[in-house]
Amino acid sequence: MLVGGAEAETFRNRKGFFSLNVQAICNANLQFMDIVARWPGSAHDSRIFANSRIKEKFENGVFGNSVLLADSGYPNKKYCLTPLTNPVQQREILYNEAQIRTRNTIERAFGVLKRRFPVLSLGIRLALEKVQCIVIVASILHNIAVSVNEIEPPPLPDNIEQAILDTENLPEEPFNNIGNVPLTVIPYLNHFNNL
Amino acid sequence: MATNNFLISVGDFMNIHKATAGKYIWQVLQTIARYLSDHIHFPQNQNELSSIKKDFYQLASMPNVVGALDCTHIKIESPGNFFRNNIFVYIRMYIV
Repeated sequence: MLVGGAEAETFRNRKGFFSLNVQAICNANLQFMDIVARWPGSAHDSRIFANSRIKEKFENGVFGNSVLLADSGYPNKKYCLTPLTNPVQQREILYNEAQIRTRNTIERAFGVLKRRFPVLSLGIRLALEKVQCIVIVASILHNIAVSVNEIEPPPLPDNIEQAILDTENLPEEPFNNIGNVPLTVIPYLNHFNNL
Repeated sequence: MATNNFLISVGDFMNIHKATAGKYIWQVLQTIARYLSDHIHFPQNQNELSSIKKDFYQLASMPNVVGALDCTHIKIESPGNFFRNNIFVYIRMYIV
């Protein structure tokens, strides 16, 4: 990846290596529905979402009352639900469990994508625009592979698995306040009252 | 892309020079990337939307979910990576 000079350091993420921070939204079949591959590694996840086109659509109510599930690195909005930081009641615990289990699809989607195209986890040594192109093309091919029921790639050798883990397990910075439940979550908590 | 092979070995396999291989691989990538909106898009009608919500509901009975959102880091190399890495770590340790 050929970024030099003062620009280069913006690509260093909080883990210390150079990267491109790619935002994606996937459905329950691990197919990507939206992908943003233009931000350097230093950009925070929530900043990418705040500037993305898909957020505008949700703000304008294009998808009605639909919601996205995200991790605690994102702000809690009426269309973007994050886990509760301090679940106490039974319904809060159930909400958190369901949230995490459903959100797990995106983690799995990234895992499968990186196993299909190991170049994404091993490090790309090309110009920035080519890196972005490769990320997009990989996700397109991944979507096609899922839609024609291509078998999932076999597990990788340990050293590559470790490389993926290194890029995945970044420490989370809790974004929202601890203790009180955000108003946006309450209708969903009521749903778990009845379960 | 799938094997993370070098252009020289790809070119050798196809009996072409690595420069030619690089040129054509880049063209193919660009062509595929042009079909982005055909393959990566949000549900465009109510039927698709509700079928996605149903799929998500079946996972862990979470209602109304249309997608799971997250970011991932794609590792890239920077020229002078080694040198800068060391310097950077050194400086950071000093401050701490």
